Amino acid sequence: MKSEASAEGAPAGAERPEENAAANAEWRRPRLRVRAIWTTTMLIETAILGAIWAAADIVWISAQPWWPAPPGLAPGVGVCLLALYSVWLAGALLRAWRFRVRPFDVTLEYGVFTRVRRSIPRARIQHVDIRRGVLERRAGLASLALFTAGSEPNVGAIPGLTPEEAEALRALLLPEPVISPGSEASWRPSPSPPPSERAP
Amino acid sequence: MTVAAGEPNRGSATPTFSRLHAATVLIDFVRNVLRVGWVVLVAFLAEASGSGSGDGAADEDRLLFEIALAVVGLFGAVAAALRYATTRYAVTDEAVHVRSGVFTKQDRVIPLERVQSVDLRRELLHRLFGVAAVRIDTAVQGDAEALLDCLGGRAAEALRAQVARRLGRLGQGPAQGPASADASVTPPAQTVVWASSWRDLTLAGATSNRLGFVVVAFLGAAEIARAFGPYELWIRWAIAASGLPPDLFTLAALAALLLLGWLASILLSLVTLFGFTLVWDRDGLKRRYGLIATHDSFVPLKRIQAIRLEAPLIRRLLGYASIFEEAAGDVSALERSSPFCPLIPRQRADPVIRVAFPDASLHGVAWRRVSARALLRGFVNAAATLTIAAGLAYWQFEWPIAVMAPMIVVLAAAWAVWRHRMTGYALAPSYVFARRGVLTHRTWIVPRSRVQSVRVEQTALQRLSGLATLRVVTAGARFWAQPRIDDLPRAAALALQDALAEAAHAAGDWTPDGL
Repeated sequence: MKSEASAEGAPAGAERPEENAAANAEWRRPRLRVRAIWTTTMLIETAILGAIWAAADIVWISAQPWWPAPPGLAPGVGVCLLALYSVWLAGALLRAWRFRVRPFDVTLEYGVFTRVRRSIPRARIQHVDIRRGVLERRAGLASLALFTAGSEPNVGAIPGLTPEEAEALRALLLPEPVISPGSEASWRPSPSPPPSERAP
Repeated sequence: MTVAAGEPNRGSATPTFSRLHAATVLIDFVRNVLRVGWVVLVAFLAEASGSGSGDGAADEDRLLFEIALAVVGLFGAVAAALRYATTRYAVTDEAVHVRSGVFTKQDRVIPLERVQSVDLRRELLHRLFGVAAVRIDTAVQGDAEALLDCLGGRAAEALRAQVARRLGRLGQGPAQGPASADASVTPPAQTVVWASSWRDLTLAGATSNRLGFVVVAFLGAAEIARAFGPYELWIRWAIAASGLPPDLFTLAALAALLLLGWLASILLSLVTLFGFTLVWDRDGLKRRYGLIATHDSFVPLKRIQAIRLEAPLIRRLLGYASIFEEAAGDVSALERSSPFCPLIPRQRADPVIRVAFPDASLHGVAWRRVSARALLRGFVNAAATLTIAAGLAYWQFEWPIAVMAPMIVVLAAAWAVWRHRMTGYALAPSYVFARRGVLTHRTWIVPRSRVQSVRVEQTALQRLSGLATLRVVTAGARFWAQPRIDDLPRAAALALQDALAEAAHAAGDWTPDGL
């Protein structure tokens, strides 16, 4: 929360001053395990990029008379920097990610450089997808993609949910929207409650 | 043809299929040849101009060119014949059936209830044969659900009339306002909502920023002209004939070119938008325009998610604007550019807007400005851009920094103030208004019941100054055309976001096609 705190002038981890705590449901965060998934994905991408870069460097770029570095040096340094950046970015992404389900909407907040807060009115949710990629299945996680009408493929996907949480969230969001705030009471921030408690 | 094309065969369970109009083959053939043929032609001309005056080489080129044309023609003819031979359609009381495909057969059924609009388009070739291209749209994003190109004129009209009756029964009329839903408002038998006059269309052409295209087209023509002889000779001849000094001649030629481009632009607007009329009758709102290629379409009022007024600088200064509708489901690139109203005095926009949104009005909107800190942001952005430009100017032409620096400050300040004045928003009981833009000014009217989601975003710089940009996302087509409000104070943006989301949720379950 360091970046937020500096921007808002609020103490780290505290709710933002303009938010009336009584009117808002509690923010929830993705499971910490999702960071490993993101890091792995980005490192794999870095490795692929690095391989292509190294091949191009050794075969072609370093053969040019104007190129100062010895073969393989530039890609090596570049890939190391990219890897460090990936590790940092995964953590920063996770620190920025939070969401909440209120009586009238689902709010998603994410983004490291550009911070986005997206409010999706619950009556507008057309359908939701539970997605489990290869890495997510290994980590026992799932993500929940939300869809509204319109041209955007999906308006947002909540990452780092356990499959049970994802199922429960889907059950909560999909049927006729429940307006009464009481129905939200069974929703707690992610760490504790057993799945059985969350039946709709 | 065994069945009269387009005749609804009432009550029959199995639809009777008919072919497209026979002229389809010829029209398709011409189209196919034109689509590929110009590439061959340009390649030939470029080759001819490139290879000097060797006679043998020229002959060889000509032969190659003829072979290429023959191949293009053959493929064009086969493709046209195949499409004609494999396409069948049928219209019943319930649905439109279309069968098509050479290798992969497709059998599509479009229930009439789901049809959102039926458009008739007649290009020059269509008009020569008295046929029309019919496109049938549902609320699905993407291409038309069916494009029957071409049907005989009468069959096309019959098909459209049948669908129109069906839509009319389902309440396609403009009475279905988003907020009022006042079904008692029945439109009179036939009202002309807007008819563009010659003056309007001339003005539209004169103020459309088409000059760039014209200049590019001219340069392309000059390049082709090379093929017919060294055009430096022509220029020398023209200079001699005009009797002007070369410098003055260049200026005069440039002015003449711009004037020609301007006139061409006016002519183009007059031809494409000729006789633009919006007519509102029992079947719904119809849009007709075009001199050579004529368009005749329903405006899918139910699908309109937002109305956008757009005014480039010149039009804004003259007090004019264009009106566009943002409709759910997609429309082809061609139809996308057809406006709700091509050019209208801003003062008279309200009646046209009310056709789509019965209780909306641009008069007396209580516009609110965004944060004053936006001034600083606007200034910094503009100054940064100008500084880069000035740096280039210094590097290339050694323009004096002492002159440029104060100019940058003044220009950036003017830009910031203007930008701040142009940006605004307003919240009415059932609508949200937003406006922005310095060079092209855009104003949006969005029914609060049609908001799909609300996005507040802060770039790193915005976070430093506690500002945020709010985007209202509707089911209307494109992301860039969605309404946005820049540089609200963050707290205000979040409050507005919550208010909009809460209202949208309260408006209840709602789908873009209104079914």
